Amino acid sequence: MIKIEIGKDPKKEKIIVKNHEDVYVTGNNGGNLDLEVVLEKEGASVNIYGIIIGKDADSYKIKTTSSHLAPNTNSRVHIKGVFMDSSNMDFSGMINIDKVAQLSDAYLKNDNLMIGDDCKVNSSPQLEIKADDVKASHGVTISTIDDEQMYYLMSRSLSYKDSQDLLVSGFINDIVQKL
Amino acid sequence: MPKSLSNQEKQLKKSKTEYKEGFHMPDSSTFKSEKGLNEDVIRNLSKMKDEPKWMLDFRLKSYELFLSMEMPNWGADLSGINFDEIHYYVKPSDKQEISWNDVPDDVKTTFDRLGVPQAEREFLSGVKAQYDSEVVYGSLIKEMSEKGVIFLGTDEALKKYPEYFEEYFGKIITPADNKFAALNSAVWSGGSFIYIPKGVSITKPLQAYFRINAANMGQFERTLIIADEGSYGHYVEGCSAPVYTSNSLHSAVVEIAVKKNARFRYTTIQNWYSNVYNLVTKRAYAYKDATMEWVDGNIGSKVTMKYPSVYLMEEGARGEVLSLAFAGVGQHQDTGAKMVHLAPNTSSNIISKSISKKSGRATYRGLVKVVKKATNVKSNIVCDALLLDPESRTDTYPFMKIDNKHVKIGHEASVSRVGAEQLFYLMSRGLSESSAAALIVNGFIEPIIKELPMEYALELNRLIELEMEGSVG
Repeated sequence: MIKIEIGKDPKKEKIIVKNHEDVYVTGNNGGNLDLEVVLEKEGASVNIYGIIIGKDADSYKIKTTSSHLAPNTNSRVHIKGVFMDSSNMDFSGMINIDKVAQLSDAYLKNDNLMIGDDCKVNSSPQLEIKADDVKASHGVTISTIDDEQMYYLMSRSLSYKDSQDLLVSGFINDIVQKL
Repeated sequence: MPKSLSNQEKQLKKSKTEYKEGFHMPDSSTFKSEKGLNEDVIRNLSKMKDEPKWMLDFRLKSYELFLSMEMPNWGADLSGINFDEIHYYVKPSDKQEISWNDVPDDVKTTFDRLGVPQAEREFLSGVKAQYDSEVVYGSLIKEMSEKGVIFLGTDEALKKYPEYFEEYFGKIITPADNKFAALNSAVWSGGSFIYIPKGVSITKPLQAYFRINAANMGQFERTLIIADEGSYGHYVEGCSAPVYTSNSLHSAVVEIAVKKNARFRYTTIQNWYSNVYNLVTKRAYAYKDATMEWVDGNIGSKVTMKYPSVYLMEEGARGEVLSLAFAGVGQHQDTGAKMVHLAPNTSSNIISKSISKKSGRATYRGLVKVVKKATNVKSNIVCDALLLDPESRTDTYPFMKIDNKHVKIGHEASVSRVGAEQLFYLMSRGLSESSAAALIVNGFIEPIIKELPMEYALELNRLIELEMEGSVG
């Protein structure tokens, strides 16, 4: 298990995965991360889970690359971000499947909750697929807190802030469970 | 096995002469500019067209921009383009005809073989046919011209309706937009001009057919479309070129203004021969409660770089792109869509389907941008890629730039192949392997095919089945 905390100093990490690895990424104060996982042995697998919290003027630049260089390799990337105030993130997530990496299975998901009135999110999930017998997909969502959900909680007598906190913790809960 | 499919298959075998549009007519052009581009070529071109001075100035300024701009350092490999080897202006005949019988024989034969006059009779409100640099034939049915619809070659429209040009020409896509928009602005010739008056609906599509005949030819048509308030129209363009060994360049610019409450649909079936570089800039402005739809099918060409875009200018505007790409041997289809949300309560939808075969490479490249003041924006993007064999490649490069929190943005993409289980199932029902594979591919692209006019849907299905022959196994 590898833990990476995004900090003020830009980080560049390259992780060679021989069997299986779980990578946990957290960000609380902004910063840069360039993370590459390389699946170079047949049957290798990796999970990357990330929670990115932006507040004030926190600024993130995050890049992940899942490189499948061997057959039958598996990657899962799931990054969730919550952005308050004027925080912002620039995310790109590459899935790269080499010609020899047949039967590989790759997935990347990036979910973003925009809360601050001046927050910004750039997201660019990317695929470069050179083998045909593979599964590769990605998804991105960008949205704000649902008015109806807020209304429901507040009509149950929760304060505005408590309702918002509850919905945010619900949003990141599945990743928190993994950490 | 369904009988229709077996008939289809027989037909398919019969017509398997690769690229059926590959014939060429002798080059009998009345004027052909020297290879290469310089100011004199542009001055001469503008003079032959008897253009107003502002247009010549616009061309010369664009040429300067073209020279100063770099080639794009992203996307497809464009190193095969030699700007000095291209004829920038090839004039096939002296005037545009309004009667099919008056069109020069070799040009007529070309379009007859492509089935254009037949389609005109049966399905269309009007036709434009462009041969090399000029529109050689144009028609519009009477009901439409009586309602005030204008459908002309762009050169002719510039003379008759300069007021529309001052307002929109070069404004939606400025020459500085990109190197190829600058090139087009410098040497444009031909293309369609459409004006649909307020409240008028065009029920049957208008069609333009673009044909490159001369070798080493650059075709730079320029299209301007204005759909006035509350109007509706549908424009269809098809393109093809003969089989030559040297490369040709097609670099069009298409500008569209869709005004309040109007709806416009622009359908492209691009089937250039596989040595044509197809580098096209297409953009529409959608105003209040207007809808712009691009249906973009790319089957042919060596390299295509084309990202039809909609700028959602005012509240309630809606943009849609349906994109279909087929990348066969040696082809790179770098296609996609751009949605720029500049106003609140706007929405967009992008569906992209690509198929890669042999050494073919299909790339989806897209942008969804939401500016700070554009609140309550919804955008949905779905990209599916199908790989047919181990040699093929697919890429996805979407960019989402979101500056307003009140948005609902969803993007998903997936890559798959023709599954062995799906094939097994269909073959156990008595289908041959190739027809089973074709059926799966047809199912994959069906959401886009069903949006095409019937005759195009059939043609596209036929083309894809042809491409699919013997491609699985």
